[in-house]
Amino acid sequence: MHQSAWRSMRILKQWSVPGIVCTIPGANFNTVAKFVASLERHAMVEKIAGHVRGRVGEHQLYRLYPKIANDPTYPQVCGLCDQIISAKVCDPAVKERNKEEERQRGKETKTEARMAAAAASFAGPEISMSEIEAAEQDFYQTGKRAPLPPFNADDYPSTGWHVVPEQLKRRLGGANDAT
Amino acid sequence: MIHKTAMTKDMRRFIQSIDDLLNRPSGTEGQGLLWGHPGLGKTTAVAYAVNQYDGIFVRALGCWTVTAMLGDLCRELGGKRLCRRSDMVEFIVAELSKPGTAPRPIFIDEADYCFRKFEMVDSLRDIYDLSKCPIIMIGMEDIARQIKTNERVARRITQWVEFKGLDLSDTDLVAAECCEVKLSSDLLEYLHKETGANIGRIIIGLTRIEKFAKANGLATITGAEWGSQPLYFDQPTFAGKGRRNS
Repeated sequence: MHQSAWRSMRILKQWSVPGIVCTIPGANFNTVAKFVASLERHAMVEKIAGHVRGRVGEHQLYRLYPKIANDPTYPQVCGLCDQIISAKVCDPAVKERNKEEERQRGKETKTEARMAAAAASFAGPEISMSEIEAAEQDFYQTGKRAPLPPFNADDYPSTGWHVVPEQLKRRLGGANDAT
Repeated sequence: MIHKTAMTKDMRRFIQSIDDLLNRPSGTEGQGLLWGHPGLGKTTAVAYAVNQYDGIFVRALGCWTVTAMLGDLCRELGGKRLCRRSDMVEFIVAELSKPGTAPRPIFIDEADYCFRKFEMVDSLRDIYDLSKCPIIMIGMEDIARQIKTNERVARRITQWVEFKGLDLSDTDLVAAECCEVKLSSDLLEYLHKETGANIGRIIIGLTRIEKFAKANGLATITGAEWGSQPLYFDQPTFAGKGRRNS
């Protein structure tokens, strides 16, 4: 029914609700009127000025917006609010909200993916839990931090694009030697 | 008022011609032509037929080329305009002759523009030959005269339908099908004469008559009861000028 009404709207260019009903075999006036009202609510059709209310036999004329009129199938989702056209209110803020949520979801997913990738690519020196616990106990007893384990560049394989410069390697090696 | 399309003589002939084109024997040309003066209900009839037969409707433009025409047909069939004409014809034929689907008629409005370039008519012929879907051209009152002068084009059109407007029996049929009160023959004659057999005006007049009859509790309304009230709102009144002339 909606597709037939849409076709008639495109063919007739300027039309009234009874005019559309006449062109659809077995159409129901209320169904077509509701469809037109929903299209009007979502700014897909516009009223044509010049209609005088109360004149018997004359009806409000409408036309489709030219951008939408080229589409051979009737719209099911409003482009302004991203809701189905039967939605009672066309609020563009809903679309913005949805977009923002989508963006946030995308960001979170991206960050999680990056972290997972970084964790997978990172292969530092293996330190056992007993070593960590021993270092903690030393810290509590002496108040001094345990010296860092000597830096070994081979423990940090430069996977991907990241390569530790030679100069930095030397500096880090020197610092470890000093301690 | 009851909102429905009354099967007037014009309408019946039009629907019959589409049926004949859809059920034509092989080897017969599948092009039809519909023409008539403006305001006789051609577009409404076409919209009704498009919905009834799940047809495809395109409007020709003055700047149409064969590529533009095929592109519009592709778009109407849910595709996109392609670079090559042959690809577009193939797509159209494939869409129209999908297995398990009934043939869909193609309606081309303002078809006068199509007859300016013979290539367009040839492409349309290819489409209906390959897909078995008829093509119905719609034009203004002069289109038939123009086509008849061109033997090559006229030979391909097998259904000629002219919208002539409503006669008195058609007006009676429209009143019986759409109006909820009964009109006497004298009022019908008055309505037919005053509206100049224009279907849009007849409907407005019938609505007013119906409302008047219902307001006065009449099941049947006569010309005497209606009197000389105006039937629609844009009837010009040149009282001042008329008095001066007389």
